[in-house]
Formats: sequence, structure tokens, C-alpha cells
Amino acid sequence: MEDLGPDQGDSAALRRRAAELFEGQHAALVGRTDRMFAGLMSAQWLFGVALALWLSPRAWAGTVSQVHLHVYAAVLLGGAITGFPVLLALTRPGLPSTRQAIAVGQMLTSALLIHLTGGRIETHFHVFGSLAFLAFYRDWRVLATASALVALDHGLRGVYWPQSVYGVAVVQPWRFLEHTAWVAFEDAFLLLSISQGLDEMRAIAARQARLEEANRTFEAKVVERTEELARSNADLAQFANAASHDLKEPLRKVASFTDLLARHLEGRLDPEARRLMERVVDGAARMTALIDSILHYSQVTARADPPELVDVAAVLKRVVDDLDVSIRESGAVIACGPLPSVVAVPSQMSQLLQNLVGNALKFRGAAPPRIHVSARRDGRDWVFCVQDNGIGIEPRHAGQLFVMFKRLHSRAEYPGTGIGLAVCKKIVERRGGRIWVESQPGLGARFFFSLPGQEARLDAAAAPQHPARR
Amino acid sequence: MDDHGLRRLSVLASGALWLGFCAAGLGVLVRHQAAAGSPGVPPARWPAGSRLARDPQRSTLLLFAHPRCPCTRASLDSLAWAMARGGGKVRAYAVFLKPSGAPAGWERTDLWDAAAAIPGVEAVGDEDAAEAGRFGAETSGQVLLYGAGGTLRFSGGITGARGHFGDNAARDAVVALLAEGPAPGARSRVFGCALRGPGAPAREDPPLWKTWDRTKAIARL
Repeated sequence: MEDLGPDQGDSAALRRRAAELFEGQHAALVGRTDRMFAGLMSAQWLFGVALALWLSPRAWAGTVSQVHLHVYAAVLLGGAITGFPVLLALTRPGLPSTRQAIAVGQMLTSALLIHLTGGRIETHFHVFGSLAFLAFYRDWRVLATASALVALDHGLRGVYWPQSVYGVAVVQPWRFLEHTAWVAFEDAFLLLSISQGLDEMRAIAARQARLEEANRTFEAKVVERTEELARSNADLAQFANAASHDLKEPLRKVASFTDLLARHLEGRLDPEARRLMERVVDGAARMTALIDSILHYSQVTARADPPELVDVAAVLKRVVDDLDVSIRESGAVIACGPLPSVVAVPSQMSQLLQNLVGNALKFRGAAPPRIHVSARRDGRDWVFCVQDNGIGIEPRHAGQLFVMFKRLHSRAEYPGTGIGLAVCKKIVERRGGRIWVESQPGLGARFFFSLPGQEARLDAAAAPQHPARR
Repeated sequence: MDDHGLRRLSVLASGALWLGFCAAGLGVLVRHQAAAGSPGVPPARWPAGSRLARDPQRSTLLLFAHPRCPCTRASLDSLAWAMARGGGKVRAYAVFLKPSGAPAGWERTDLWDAAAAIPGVEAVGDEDAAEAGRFGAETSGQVLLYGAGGTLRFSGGITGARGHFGDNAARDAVVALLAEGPAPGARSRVFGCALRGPGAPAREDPPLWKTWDRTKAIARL
């Protein structure tokens, strides 16, 4: 069933808003129609002048002629008929008096044009066309005024000069009704059209009012949920801080008291007891590292700085500087191609590269690590690649690498918490990108990550070709 | 009265003035439209000196026309209408004014072509309105209908008003006469430009500016 406006279920406020929207839409429609008539009536005036100049430029008496009265009428009377409504349309658009004046002016223009064409029946269609145009206002009063003017004209002519309108000297009174009935016939359809048009406008206004209310409700819910989320995040952050502090404190005590105990029992501990105590200290240290890593992971979202344009080449250079000791120890060679600037959180971009380059250094084979960092455009994204010549990964394990605490090797072989790549994944996905690995055991690995590149730009000139060649 | 009220009043007053001006202007036009030209004094019998050939077997119709009179276009439209209904019973001439001294072809206007295009109508030039003088025609659009015996049966215009197309009683009367209807001597008002210029015995309408004070004449129409 077609919705035709506010229903009984709507609140009073919603109905008021729908009425307000309807009034606004109708006012806009009326203003547009006023402007349309300003143009149309001006064009009609010019047309009338052209018509007079073409059909009856001069009146003659023998060989003597003068400008025909029709030319004066088209210019002066036509100008007057047009001028007032057009002035109102331009200075007082949207007002009822303006469209009433336009209705009268349009009908007077019909009368003038009919006169200028010698009462040709074809010109009478201007009356019917004008009524249809006036229906654009969707205001029955405008049609009523125009139709009443036509009826008045025919009525007066029928009484005083029937020859001019009916072609005969004496007419029956019903001839007046016959002529105006055709106008009423058109009016009936136009009024129906106006009624339907207004119903549609009311329905649109009601729908818009409901939509606005739904949007307001939705926005309020979003704000409410966002606030809840913010509170929850704050609670979580507070919890994480408290937990890290509260958990690390007893761990520190375990480690330090174990150390004190070892000193206290210096010389009295057998090797097994010493080994067990060392394992206690080592476990406490690993637990502390794990807590730090989890805290760090949670801070990727909880304490993110605002993103900005980041020069990836410069970030990589800092990362290489930070990893200087490992690089020297391993004899690694790190190179890079042209790297773009991207919009990212600088600290997270640094963390991302540090984890990937650090892994490349850590999971090295017998040969000194050779690491290459590059970037290429892929549609609207930038795809970065960190390639190494390390031990590689079984392809079947590629998907598990980015899961938190997932380790493919024992801590004895390769130390770590198993959180680094999970942090990388979270950082990349936070920026709308993705991360993956391509590798074969013994053939090194290529870690790819993509970042949306709408705001990014390749700044090859700014990017050092080999910022950290060692 | 506040500003809003004053503005409203000024718009109402302006609207009333505007309506008054437009009504007066249309009144002047209506008066001009209804103003007939001189009916002339056509002879009751076909003048002997006319160079136009009268058909002794049927009626002869003459329409005197100024070749540049815009109003005569409606007269020719009525003539075409009448000829379509009684053309077989009449010989018709459209007699176009051809002043001496006028450039060659002065009279050959679109009205001439329109008249010549009406079946049964012969367009002819009238040097210095000689024929118009013989037939007492003074206004463009004047129609004279002479019976087969040479008796004037109709004189006047065949439009309802100046330059006005469409139904009118005079046109219907001519058609009725062609059907051998009413008695001879029917007359109607004739609307059109004067066939002869100033100095000639043609009635002239007063200048435009002298008609402004006569708009009340609408009521008399």
C-alpha cells in the first residue's frame, strides 16, 4: 500500500516535522515555478512583439502608412502585462500574491496574443497551455483565478459583444457555459493532478521526517555505543596497566628473592638446586617479557597516535640504526628500493618494520643475512616487501605465523614471545591493509604487507637508495 | 501600520493600478478591433464603366483589398471559407489597390497570392482605385455581391471585427446569398485599412493618443 503521508502512529513532533518539510518543499517548488514564469512571460512578450511586427507592422491609408496599433500594444501593453508579474517573481518569489499576479498576467497575455493573431482559434490553445503551466504551482487557487478570468472575459463579451467571441450577434446564455466548460474540463484533470502531486509531496515529507528521526535514533545509539566502547577501552587500558604492574611486581620479587636466596646459599647449593633456581629466574623473566608483549599488542589500538604522512625510507633508516648491534653481529646487508611516503602512525610503522627486519635477522641460516625492502604500486594500494635469505618457512605454516603466541621453533632455537608478527598483522589491518608471507624452507622468505595508497605518493628522490648498506 | 502592512498595501495598490492599466489597454485594442471603416456608397446596379466583366449567368462578387492591409488577411480567410461553400455559383474578383507612381509589383503581396490561391477567385489590380471609385468601395475588405441581373445584393465586410478570423454573421450572409437566400440589399460593417489616402473621402480613425479617453466605449460594444 502506498504511503501517502503521516499516519496516526506518528508522533506529534514527527507530524510537525513532516508538515515543516512539506511546506519547505512546496515553497521551493513555488519559487522555482515563479522563476520559470519570469522567463516564460518575458519570452512571451518578445514573441508578441515579433508577432505584431510580422503580422501587422503598419496600418495603411492608400499609400500612406503608420506603425500599426498592434505594434504599440505588443510593446507597451505586452510590457505592462509582463512587467508586474515578472517583477514580483524576481523580488517576492514564493508569495501567494506573486503567483496570483502571474496567473492574471498569463491570462492577459493569452488575450493579447489572441488579439494580435486576429482571434485565430489556434492561439486559444495558449489559454489551455497556460492553465497547464500554472498547475505547476500545485495551488488550486491559482487555477481558480486564471479560470475565473477566462469566464469573466467570455461572460462580458457574451453580454456586450458576442460577435467577438462567438461569431454571431445574438447568443444563448448557455454559450458562455459551453466555452468555460472546456476550461473547467481541463481544470478537473489539473486539479486531480495537483491533488495527487500534493499527496506525493506529503508522503515524501513524511518519509523524510521518519528517516530523519531514524537517523537521529541511530546516531544517538552510535554515540551511546561509542561512549560505552570508549569506557570499555579505558577500563581495559587501566586493567592492562594495573595487570602489568601487579603481575610484574610479584615476578620481580620472585626473580630478586630467588637471586638473593642464591647468594644467601652461595656455596651450599648443589648444581641441580642452582639449575632449578636459574630456571625460576628465567621463567620470571620470560613471564615479564610476555606481559610486556601483550601490553604492547593491546596498545596498538588502545593508544594509537593520529596517522600522518610517513616517509617509509626514513623510518627504515631509524629501524636499521636501532638494530645496529644485531646487524653487526650477524654481518647482515640491508638494502632497499625507492620507498613511498604513506599515511600511517609513525611509531606503528617503525614497529612494523622493526619486527619484520628483526625476524629476518633472527631466522637466518648459515650465510650472513641479506635483506631487501621494496615497494610497488598495486592499484590504489602500496605493497611493501621485506625479503631475506633466511631459513624460510613451510608454506603450510604461512597462515599460522600471524597468530598470537604461535611459534614454529622452540625458544631454545630462536628466542621470542610469538607476538611480533601478530602485532604486525594488527598494525597493517588497522590501516586497512593485509599482510602475508611467501616462502620455502631454506630459500628465505618474503613478507608482504599492503597499505591503502590514496594519500600515499612515491617520493623516490627523497628515499635513499641504500640507506643502511653495511 | 508596520512595514509588512505597508508592503502589502503597496503591492495591492500596484496590482490594482496594473490591472487598471491592462484593462484600459485591452479596451483600446477592443475598440480598435470594433471600429469599422467607411462603408462607402456602392451603386445599386453594376456600373456601366467598370472594366471588370460581370457574369450574366450567375452572381459576381468583388472584394476590394489594400494589398498591405494586415486586417484584410482575415477578409480573405472568410472569402475562402465562403467560396468553398458557394464558389460554383459566383464569379469572384479580389480587386487590389494599385496606386499610380507605386513601384512595379507594389500590389503583389502575400495577400495577392493568398487571394489568387482561392479557387474561383481572380486577383486583379485596380489602377489608382478606379474600380473602387466606380463601386464606391472605401475600405479594404469590402465585399460587393451583384446578382446575375447586375443588382447589388450584398455590401460590407465579411469579418466579425477588424482583422478578426472566424465565424461571423456577414460571412454567413454571403454564403446564404450565394445559395439564393435572402432578399437583395444586405449590408454589414466593413473592417480594414482605407483604400485611399488622406484627402480622399475615406473615414480615418482618430490618432491613437486621442482614443485613450474613450475606453469607456467598451461598454457600448
